[in-house]
Amino acid sequence: MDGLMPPPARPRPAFTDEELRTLVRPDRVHRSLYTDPGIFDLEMERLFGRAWIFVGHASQVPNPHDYITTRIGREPVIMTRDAKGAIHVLSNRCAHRGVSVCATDSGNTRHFKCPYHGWTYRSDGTLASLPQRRSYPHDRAEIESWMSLARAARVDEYRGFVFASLTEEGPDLETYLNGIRHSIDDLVDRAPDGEVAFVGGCSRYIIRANWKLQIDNGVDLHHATYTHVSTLDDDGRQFSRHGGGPRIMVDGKKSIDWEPFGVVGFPYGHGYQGRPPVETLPSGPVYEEYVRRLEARHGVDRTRQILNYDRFNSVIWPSMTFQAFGQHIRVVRPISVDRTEINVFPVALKGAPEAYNTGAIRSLAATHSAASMIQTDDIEVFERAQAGLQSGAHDWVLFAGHPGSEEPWHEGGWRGQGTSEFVSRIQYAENWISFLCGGNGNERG
Amino acid sequence: MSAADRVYPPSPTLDAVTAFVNRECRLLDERRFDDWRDLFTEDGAYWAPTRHDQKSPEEAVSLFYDDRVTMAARIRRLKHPDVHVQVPESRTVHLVSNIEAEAVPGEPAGVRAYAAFVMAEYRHTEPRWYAGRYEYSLRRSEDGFRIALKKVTLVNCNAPFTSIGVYL
Repeated sequence: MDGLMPPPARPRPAFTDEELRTLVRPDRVHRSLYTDPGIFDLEMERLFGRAWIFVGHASQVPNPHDYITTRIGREPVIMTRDAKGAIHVLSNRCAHRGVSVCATDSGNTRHFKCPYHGWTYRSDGTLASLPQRRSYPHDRAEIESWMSLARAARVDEYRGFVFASLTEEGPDLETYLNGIRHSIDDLVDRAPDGEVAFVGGCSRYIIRANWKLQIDNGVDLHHATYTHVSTLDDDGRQFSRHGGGPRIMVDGKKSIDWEPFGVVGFPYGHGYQGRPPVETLPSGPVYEEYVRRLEARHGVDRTRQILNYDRFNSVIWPSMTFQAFGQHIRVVRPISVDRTEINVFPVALKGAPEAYNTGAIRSLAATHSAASMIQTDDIEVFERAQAGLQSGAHDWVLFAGHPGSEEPWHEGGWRGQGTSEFVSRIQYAENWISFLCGGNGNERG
Repeated sequence: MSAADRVYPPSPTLDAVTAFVNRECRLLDERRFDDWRDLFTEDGAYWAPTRHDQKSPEEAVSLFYDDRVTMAARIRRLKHPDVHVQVPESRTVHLVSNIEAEAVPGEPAGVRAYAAFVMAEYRHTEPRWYAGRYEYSLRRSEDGFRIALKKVTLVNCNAPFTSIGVYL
């Protein structure tokens, strides 16, 4: 069966490897990484076409023949569950003339039938029926090899989070995720039943800016002081789902030292922000019931460990960012060099009181929807970055803060000061450049 | 009483609802957000779902779900000099049409109103357009109507949106 291979860059690669290497320095990257369509083409082919990319969560396809449609870079794909319960990531493209075989976001079907000439595929991607079969004199094995839906070369999952890679080469998923799996654990362990589910729909926003601006932001604590200053109350605190957010300003002056909260980075470009100084932790009867259920399952000590709030936003490079405490994940879907779609999924903790999970769904309207009070600040900054980066006055985008000060960290990787920009340095100087030059990431420079 | 029987024909009530809705939208266009918030009951809410058939803000994510407390936070923010998504600020015009009003069985003070709307927004690059339907749960009080719920269902409510900086 044909692999789902990344397309050749269109037009012909605009940059040689040598040229690409001039665009990335240890502490800065050239602005063309954000503005050049030729670079974007190469990213889709060599980064999104090779790295492990988040596709969906197993809970989105709970039953046999359930499916969702999404994309891996530019590749339209269908994630399905077949009759036997196995998950597949298939190309949403008829093997005959290229027509997409599925036009809906999600559903349940035993067969994907092409609307053009009726070629029909099973939920595992194999060819189920071929009208005018006699017009193809090829033998059965040959027909099955090139008339089935193409599939991602590798599909694997970690605690229900399904990733795919469009190439056979490169590290396995466990190696690729390395220490960032602790952030997934931090989310999933919060569920009394030890499982999460994507229910509650999807909030979608568009950034008229390059996809990397969202990823850069995911490991940046410092911006909150400036970008989100309009979200503070009289007391200088940012509102949050559980009340009293971090106290950022006092009397109109920055009052927070972000450094002690730290930022953690891992090989392959993943990372997380340390816990912001939230002083008011959740309370109330719903929360108490939630804690009781965790304790009933795990005991008091383990529950305290699970609820320890030690990290804010995590990034799994290059395709997703998520908040365990905030109970949502965001999928980064590049569309073009200056346009990105972000899909925000609330995450339900199985076994938690229903009101605890619906509270997470409801609060996304205030924090992360396209009309929310926090995300719109970030979107505006990303779009102004895209505008500013058109300028040739400066060629470099700087990630130079706290050079060389990060220390080895017990989860693997390293931990730096809260405003350190070293996680972005790992992303660009060790991974972006590696993938763009045809490697598989983790190139220690 | 069938639904058809509950519909107010051209009547003082429909006229009053129409005037109220027109004014409510004008307050938004004039950025008189505090006055606009005062139109809501103490337990009132403004809601823009992401699904056409969405029953509640807890069933699925919403674009907006502002109770009075969240409204106050949002309005406070809209006055902040560094609310980046409103620098420069949006100019909007709401066009409201197809207004209907009906009685609410068992709620003598309740009136349900329906309208279609288009909102034009201009900020600093290009004009943007939103269209959809409003559904109001109104309560009569001594000094006119109050809004218990304004539900805004955009015709493309399930689409991805660029930033929405002001109420629809």
